[in-house]
Amino acid sequence: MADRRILFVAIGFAAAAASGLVRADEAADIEFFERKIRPVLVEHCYECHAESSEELQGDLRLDTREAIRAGGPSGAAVTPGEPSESLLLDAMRYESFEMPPQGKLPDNVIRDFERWIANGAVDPREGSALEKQGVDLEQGRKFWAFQLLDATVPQGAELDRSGTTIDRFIRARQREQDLNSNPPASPEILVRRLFFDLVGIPPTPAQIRDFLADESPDAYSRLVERLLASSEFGQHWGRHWLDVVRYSDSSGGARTRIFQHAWRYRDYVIQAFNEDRPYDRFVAEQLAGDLMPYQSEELRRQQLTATGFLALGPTNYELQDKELLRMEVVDEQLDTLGRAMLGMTIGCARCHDHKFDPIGIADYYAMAGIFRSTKTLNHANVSNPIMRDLPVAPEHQQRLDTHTKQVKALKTVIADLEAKLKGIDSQSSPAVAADSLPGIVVDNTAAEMMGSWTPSSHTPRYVGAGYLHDQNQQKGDLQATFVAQIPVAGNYEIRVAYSAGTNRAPRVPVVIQLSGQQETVFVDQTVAPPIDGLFHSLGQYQLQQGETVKVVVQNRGTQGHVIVDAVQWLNLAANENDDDGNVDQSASEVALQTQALEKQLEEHRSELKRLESAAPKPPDLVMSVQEEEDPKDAFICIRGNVHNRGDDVGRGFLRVVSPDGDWEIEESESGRRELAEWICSDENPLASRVLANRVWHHLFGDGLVRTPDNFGYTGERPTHPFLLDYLAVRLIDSGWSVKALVREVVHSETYRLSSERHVRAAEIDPDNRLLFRQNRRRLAAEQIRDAILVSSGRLDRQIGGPSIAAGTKTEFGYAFAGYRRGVYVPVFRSTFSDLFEVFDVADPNIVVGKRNVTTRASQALFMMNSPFIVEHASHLAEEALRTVSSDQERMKWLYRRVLGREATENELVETWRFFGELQESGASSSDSWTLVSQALFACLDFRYIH
Amino acid sequence: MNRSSTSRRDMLRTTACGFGSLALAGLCRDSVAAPSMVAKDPHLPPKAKRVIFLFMQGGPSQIDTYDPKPRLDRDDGKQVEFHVARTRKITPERVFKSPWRFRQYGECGQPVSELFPHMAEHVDDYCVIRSMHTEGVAHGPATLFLHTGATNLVRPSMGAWVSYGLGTENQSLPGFVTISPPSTQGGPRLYSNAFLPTLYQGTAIGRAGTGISDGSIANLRNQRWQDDQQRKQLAFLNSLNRQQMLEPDDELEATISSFELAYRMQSEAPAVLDLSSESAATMAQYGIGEQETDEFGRQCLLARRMAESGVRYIQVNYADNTNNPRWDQHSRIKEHEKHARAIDQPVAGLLKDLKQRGLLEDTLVWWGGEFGRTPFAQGRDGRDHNPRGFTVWLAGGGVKPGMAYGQTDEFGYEAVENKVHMHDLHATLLHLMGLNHKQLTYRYDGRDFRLTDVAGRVVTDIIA
Repeated sequence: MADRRILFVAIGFAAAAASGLVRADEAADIEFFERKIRPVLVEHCYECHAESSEELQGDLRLDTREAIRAGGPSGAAVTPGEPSESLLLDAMRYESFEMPPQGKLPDNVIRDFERWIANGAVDPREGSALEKQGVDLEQGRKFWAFQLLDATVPQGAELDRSGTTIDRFIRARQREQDLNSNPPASPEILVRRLFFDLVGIPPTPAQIRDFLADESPDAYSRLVERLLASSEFGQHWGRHWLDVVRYSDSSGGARTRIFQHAWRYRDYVIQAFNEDRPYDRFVAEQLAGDLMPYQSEELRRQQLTATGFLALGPTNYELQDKELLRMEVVDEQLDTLGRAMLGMTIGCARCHDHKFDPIGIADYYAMAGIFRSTKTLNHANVSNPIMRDLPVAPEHQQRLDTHTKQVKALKTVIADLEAKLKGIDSQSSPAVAADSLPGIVVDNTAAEMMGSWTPSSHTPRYVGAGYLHDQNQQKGDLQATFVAQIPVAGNYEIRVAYSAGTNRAPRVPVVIQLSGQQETVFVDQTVAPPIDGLFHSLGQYQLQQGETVKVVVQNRGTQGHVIVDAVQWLNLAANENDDDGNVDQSASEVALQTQALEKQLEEHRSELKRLESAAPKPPDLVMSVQEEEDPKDAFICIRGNVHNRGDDVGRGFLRVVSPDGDWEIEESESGRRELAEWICSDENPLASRVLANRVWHHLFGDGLVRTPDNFGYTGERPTHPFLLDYLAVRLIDSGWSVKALVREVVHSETYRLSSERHVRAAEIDPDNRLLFRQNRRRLAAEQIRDAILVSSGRLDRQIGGPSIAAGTKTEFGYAFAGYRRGVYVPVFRSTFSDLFEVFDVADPNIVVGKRNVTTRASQALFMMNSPFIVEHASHLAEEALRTVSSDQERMKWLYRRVLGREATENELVETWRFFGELQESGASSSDSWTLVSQALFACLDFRYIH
Repeated sequence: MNRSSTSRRDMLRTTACGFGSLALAGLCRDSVAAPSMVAKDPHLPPKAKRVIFLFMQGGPSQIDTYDPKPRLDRDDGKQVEFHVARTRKITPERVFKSPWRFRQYGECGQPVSELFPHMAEHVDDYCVIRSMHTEGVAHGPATLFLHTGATNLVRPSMGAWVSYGLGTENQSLPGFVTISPPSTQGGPRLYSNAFLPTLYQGTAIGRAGTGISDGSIANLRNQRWQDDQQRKQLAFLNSLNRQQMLEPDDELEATISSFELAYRMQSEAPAVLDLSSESAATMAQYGIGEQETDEFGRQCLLARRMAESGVRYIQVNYADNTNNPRWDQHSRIKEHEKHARAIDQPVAGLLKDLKQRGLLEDTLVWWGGEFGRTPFAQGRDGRDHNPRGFTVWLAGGGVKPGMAYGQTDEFGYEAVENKVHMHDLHATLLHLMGLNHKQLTYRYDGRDFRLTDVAGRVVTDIIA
């Protein structure tokens, strides 16, 4: 490196000298560059920012004059003469970027760079800037996946047997190897294969028997039709789609939240497959169902529910940088859509042009603009998904509207009343001073208390500072004695004050003790005191001068809170008060008014309660999206950083497959409708190829393209490109009917081949790419579960509806219970059922077109020890004991039931020996047959489709 | 029930392949078909064979533990402007000094606060990195970043990468275990294999919030059958499978041997999980039997037993399932004392034990949380999250002992010198295990992924 630099310097000077064009000061500048600048660049920058860098960082090169001036995605690194516009300097000062990352360079070095730039950044280094690669669309279109469909049927494929068109494509390639394929599978194997492939569950022994007994030529076709028409078809094929769209019942992430309504989308998908909804329509509903016209409530429900596709992703709602969160959601939507519907890893172009495929960063943000114009979240500290009401029948809607109106009206009245009451409250003090009252008034503070009373001033009105209550406890132990000495003889009314309330005691004993006389009056403290809302009269008494009168409030025998506030003795003859013995007029009026208002309020509130409890069923909710108020184009986020804004990009699609580019997006809309239309348009060959390949994948265990979610450069190439195109064309011609395609494929001879090892083919084609045989395939997690439930007779065939146990607040520790089909088991992003986890269920965090198939000890542990297996083995054993008469027959019955075939001679021998050993060791029949059944669940033939 | 594990082990030893008298072809193979857990050759000469990661969930405070700052004492209570990570704004904040005193320990004289009297005794073994910084301000994203190198995207956990890169040394045990993992703040994603083959996912032993004494591996025990019955059943199953395998096939072979593997695991793992064979002195060394230290002591002792048995990546979680986990003292920083007491003696005991057994040389111990805490106050007496500067320490397995690396600013807030990003720490840990972080890649959907994404730098200065 050092040598090259010296050589470079020498040439630099020589060239300058020879040309004679270099002024003396420029020569000095060059020398300055060579002494002060270049060595620093070489030592501190070239490791990451030069052509020679092992890995170029930040798309920025600093090793030529042109490159350093062009800079990177953030702008020019050096602007000659403008230190303030030179990002390099910013970075060295650790102001924007922090470069070099190992530590800030000494100040004098930074000053050198400042001086160098200020003096014009003289730089003798030749060479071009980083090539702006861009995306070569013309070149890109030559890649197989972007070419238009071409379903040329191979010529000269003599049909040695009756084959379908599909077989002609397959045999054309086989002939190159001069090998014939396997013979057809036995009917016994074929029926099991067909059941698992079409409906996901095994046939019952009776179904197998019927099929084997049916000798008519169309027996197979009729079985295919029956399975295609069964509601279980959608349960199985819908699950394939749910894998691809990363369906889940929770958000995953740190505080994973439950999606209580996600199941509606799941049921929508199942229904769509059962009804064989045309795939182009299926796509449109999922991307833009909320924008599609509808003729019925039912259609509207369906279309709104479909948009759950966009909303069900693994979103980290608590991400605090909301601008980033918004973009993360868009990215996730694009990435899912790309892999699921186009087989393209669009997400790779978020930070830079796609490294392999002709997808530019501009393509990415063109599509991102569509989803940025779509609202998926309501932002808050922890953001929320958009929930939308599903429409209901018009009559019901009317009831809902009426109800809403009634509730609203009532609430307005209640609010008015409350406001009035509050107004009164704020005008009138809750407390009435004792000395503002006529007669002799003794407040609770002056009373003689027995037991521990609790002070309060919670409920107005009351005399003095507050009142006391007994906490509705210590009944019989508490009392309060009010004493007065009568100053003038006369006719007195004695009154007791309390604050009323519904929790008060309805029969409070108040004892009046005169000289030699005692009387008890019961007071109902639940009712507001009639006099001024403050006092209740205990009666009139003729009292003597100097006489001592006691009033004792007790809590014996009471139920409810007993209140003690004050007692008043009022001389009626003395006409002590001008206002009829009452507190001042306004206070009395206020009290009455308050009472009346409270009564009204109480009535209205109970009316509201009644109304609400009789509310019509509220509309169902779905997770959905809506249009942003102001749909608009997105800007490029430089290097994917949302806070690093680049140019705006007009909304659009992948240019490599929309050559005409004349798609107009409605100004006022996000563009999702147009997006859906483009995906299934003639000019895009990806959608039909990807779907046809998925169908093939599910019927053979591998696709014609073995990376079903990636048709790009880094994906695999199709083994049979013309066959793939043929299937794609057939798909489109059938009106995008998945069932028609499934029907055609399962009728091929290739599908029906035996899966046995093909000895000669195994050598030249170990991965069976040429399909000399059908593939042997391990059952998927749901199939294992459902097959166990079918065998044990416990499968619950309930169709659709919610799955998560009521009241579930979190997925953690969720108890997976019940015997519904696997597709109806809740799918959480962080918590899986044991069985699903060990048998490689699709990870709902990502698009899974092809599930993993692993072989692990944890699967064996599950089969050996899980309570689930033992339970169902035991159900099966019980049924064998109940319905089959001899042990020999039981043995055979179990093989038919669990493996769908007759046991082999050797199997019978081994089973009989095992059973014998168990019996000898003293195991019960029930335990012995359970152990046998469990082993059958664990054996290879149960786990594999042949 | 006759379920003595000793007799099972004896049986395994005396019979060639485990299932009684049946000699089974292929049953003694070490592994299942590819992807495989067979120990693999590392990229570089490894300095460590295994990792024990002591995860301090919630974010322990660096300035109260290993990074003393006199400036905090001087300016305590003053308003100083900080660039606050959460708000991403520069605002005046109240400087809040550490309530704990620091003292120098060991030959190296590293300061440790009085929170960790036991751990301080091992300071000569530590390489304390004081200049850590990371991504994510909230627990969820930062915890995911710590484990997977990504705040939000679904990526494999570090232990899964290590298993993928190196395989396991013991075919009867998983290569990656996590002891008492939390179910929140990332939950299973913290030990997930993501797109790597499932084989490499972490095996959870117990879970946070329930005592580790009850912890086990899923379906490790049979509740129903006697051992004798189960052995007969497996022999029967094996004979069926042999007959059903009509042609040689790796996958079917692997399925058949998975039962043997499972049986070995079921036979051996409980013994590894069972602490009762440990001496009273060892138990005491870990603080087992003392109320405050019993739980984490058991977890640490279990980690040593796993390390001894050849588990490659062992994570011990000091964690719970709340939204304000363990070290997360937004208020009452004094609560750090409770957490310090719970881990101090167990961690010290573990280090001592590893050393005594000669295991520390090739075991890389890593202590740390998802981020640190702010030197300024939150509320009256708390500290907020701080991803801009914090401390972790490493010990054993090829790191320079008794050193401190990097520095934060004078308040202990922001890493300023020899900064070590979490990606860099990952790269360095992999390097010590003999893996080049740029070469440890996995192709998924058309792209090569790695733990360190497109970043990461091996911190060679701390490698012995």
